[in-house]
Amino acid sequence: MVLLLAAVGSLRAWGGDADSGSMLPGVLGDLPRLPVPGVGTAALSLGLLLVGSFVLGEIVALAGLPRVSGALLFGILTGPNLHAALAPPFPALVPQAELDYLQFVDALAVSLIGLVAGGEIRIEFLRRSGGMLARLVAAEMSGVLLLVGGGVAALSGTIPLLSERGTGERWYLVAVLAAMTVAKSPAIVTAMLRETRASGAFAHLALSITVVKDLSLVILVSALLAAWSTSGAGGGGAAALGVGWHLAGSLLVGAVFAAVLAAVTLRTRGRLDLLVVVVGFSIALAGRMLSIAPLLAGITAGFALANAAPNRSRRLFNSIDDLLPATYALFFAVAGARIGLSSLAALWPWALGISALRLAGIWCGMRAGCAWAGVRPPMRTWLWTSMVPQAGVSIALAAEARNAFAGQPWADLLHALLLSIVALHEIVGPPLLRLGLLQCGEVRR
Amino acid sequence: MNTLASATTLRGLPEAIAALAVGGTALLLAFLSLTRPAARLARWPLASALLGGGWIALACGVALGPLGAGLLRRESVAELEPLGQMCLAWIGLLVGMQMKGTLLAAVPTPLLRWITLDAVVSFVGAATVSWWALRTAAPQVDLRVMWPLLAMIGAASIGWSGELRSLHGLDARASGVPALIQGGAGLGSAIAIVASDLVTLKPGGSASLITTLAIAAAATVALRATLGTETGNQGRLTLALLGTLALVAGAAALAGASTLPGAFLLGMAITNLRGGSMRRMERLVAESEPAVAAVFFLLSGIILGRTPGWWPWIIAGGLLFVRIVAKPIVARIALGDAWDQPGARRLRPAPVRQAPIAVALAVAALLAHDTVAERGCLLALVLCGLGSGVLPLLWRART
Repeated sequence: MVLLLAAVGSLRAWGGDADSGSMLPGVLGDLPRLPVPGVGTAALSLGLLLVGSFVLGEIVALAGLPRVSGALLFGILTGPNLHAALAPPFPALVPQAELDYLQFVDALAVSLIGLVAGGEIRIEFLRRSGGMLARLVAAEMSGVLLLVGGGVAALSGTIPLLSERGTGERWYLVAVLAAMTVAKSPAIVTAMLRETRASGAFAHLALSITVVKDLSLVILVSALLAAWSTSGAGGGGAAALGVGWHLAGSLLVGAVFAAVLAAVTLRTRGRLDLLVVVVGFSIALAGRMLSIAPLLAGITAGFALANAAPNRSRRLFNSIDDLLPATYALFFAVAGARIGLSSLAALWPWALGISALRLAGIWCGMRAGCAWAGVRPPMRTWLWTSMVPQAGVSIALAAEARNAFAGQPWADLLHALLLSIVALHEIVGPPLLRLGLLQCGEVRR
Repeated sequence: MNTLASATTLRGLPEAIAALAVGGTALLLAFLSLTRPAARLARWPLASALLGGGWIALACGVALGPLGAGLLRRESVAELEPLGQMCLAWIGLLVGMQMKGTLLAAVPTPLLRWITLDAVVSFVGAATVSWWALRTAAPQVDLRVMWPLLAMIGAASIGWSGELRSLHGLDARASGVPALIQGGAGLGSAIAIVASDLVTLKPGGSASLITTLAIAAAATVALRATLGTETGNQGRLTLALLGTLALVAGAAALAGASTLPGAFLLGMAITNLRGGSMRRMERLVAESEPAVAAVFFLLSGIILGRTPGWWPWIIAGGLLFVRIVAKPIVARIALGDAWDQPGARRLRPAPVRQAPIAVALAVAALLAHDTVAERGCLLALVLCGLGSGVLPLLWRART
């Protein structure tokens, strides 16, 4: 591992002996190269992050920690942010330009995670536990919204983002901050459940709550951001229509992909890995083109496939399973490399405070929800641990908020604060979830 | 509002449409290459030549790229470069994986004689024809400047069409012409990769090749040490394999070397190392061949740009001439009476068909250094491949 890092580091420092131009003149000479930063050598970062995450994941697994924590840690260690903070005399192992290019994996990961998460939820389970699920989600969301919202409102005079705002704007920002902290990570929950092979009541409930909560959150955040655009130039009717299409379109596109995948699995033979990759990108691209949410579309497709054609879809889900470790390793390593250490260093007191409020909100909400829904110990004691992780969805929501508030003097500060909170939960979330699974007896030590 | 799509790197709608077109075509091709009807269709000679040679995928790529509908902008084409490098690494790995010690030790003498003679004649013949054609386009260019390009074309002309891992099908006891043709196709691809990278080595270029090979060797050791004898988890194998391949491809790109030799070395190491994980990895790579080939040829079609002048067409004609005239003569000299036996007569056009590795070598050269000359050579090899695939079929239909 050390040798590999040294080899890649020296290769980057040396830069190879690649030609800058050919000696071929006239009609055979150079074509003007287009400056697409980070593309030419992005494969090196891709390989380093995959192999490094894999090896470090194995090492941290020996210490009883989740493998995704190893991937996150490797991303932090090799990423450009730590390099910028330490300013060593050698180049970054994963330069910023290559990291930007590798963000394409987010799109793929979100789609595949959606497919897997949707495929894990069975109609029978929803019929049987729908009421309990609704109570748990409502209680947990209320707990986080109340404690984070209340705490931030109470301390708003000391938080730089809020202290200089007018009353209306301040309350609106408090609502946005509170809503954003409700988000959790289907990626981490799915990855942890796959890694630990947990399949008991805790695992099913944790994943179902995550999916239902993120669906509710998309509606909540869409409404909040639509309210902002409505207060500006946009019309209320158009915003509502946009939100409606965002949800309905996602479900529709997901159903179309489910039908296509069902037909494909029926007519093909052999491995479906490449097909899965292409489908993942297609869902992401459809999301971009049609203004729908790839995660929702993926969840719908996975849910429809797994419940409507359980036997036929097995081969497809097996293929996704084979790709998930690579997808997760890259997704979390890239997420780790993107953690804004400078923002974290500057905003850590507020990020830590809001994170503490979030944790308290999750704990209180889940305890109340478990009592309301009749969940028994030890799950009643430990289910809150599955609500802690934050990652891709939260980062995407933060980016979306920054886009929506573009031009506001506080937009970048809000984004940095949200990312700092996500970074903290990204790091502590997986070990906590593993602890919960261990305590509930769904994973062997 | 699009809550999650902002995570993608796509910037504008037209690019998204273009990327969707590529994704959709790749989906369709990957789907087609995996269907049962495709397997049945491949028994038909013309369909086999088109599907096996990757020409349908390549035509789709041409249709989407700058030569066709122009759906993809040059920035988008440039952004596909890492995918091309990964496909090349996969191809190098496939070819390297047939270099099993026991298999190589069992290669029959007639095949060794045949492939050695073929390598020398094809290399010299193709390089000479190309030199003559390139001189017409740029008379002032010195041979030393042109040499890497000529050597690449020469190496690309070695061997003949077959699967990239055809040597696996060679039975040491079978010395019949069909077995020799099949085994020779695989062996020819391996020789082409080695020849291309050794002969085109520039002064000082050995450092980049050595670095790439060293990273490939280090990655193999890390791979073997981490996976151990694990046989159970396919996902972890896929992760380790993809990571190692990307590392090799990226190191080669940074060092300005070709992706193929490092991946070839990796394939050789994997196939000769013991352990269940290595065997599962071999199966994983072999099973993905049709789908990866489809994507590679699609990308090759996309990057096939416009080339000024007719010289690529002249090179293609010359290469085709060398194949049609020289390859059967070489086979006859190397195999003697076996070539004239009644059973072998219908197989005579087989060595004329250009190996798929030829396009891979040209794409590797183009990714390492994008010049008009490299683009022209890719076009020439594509044209020659198409011609050498179709002409034997016409000959067969006539007889």
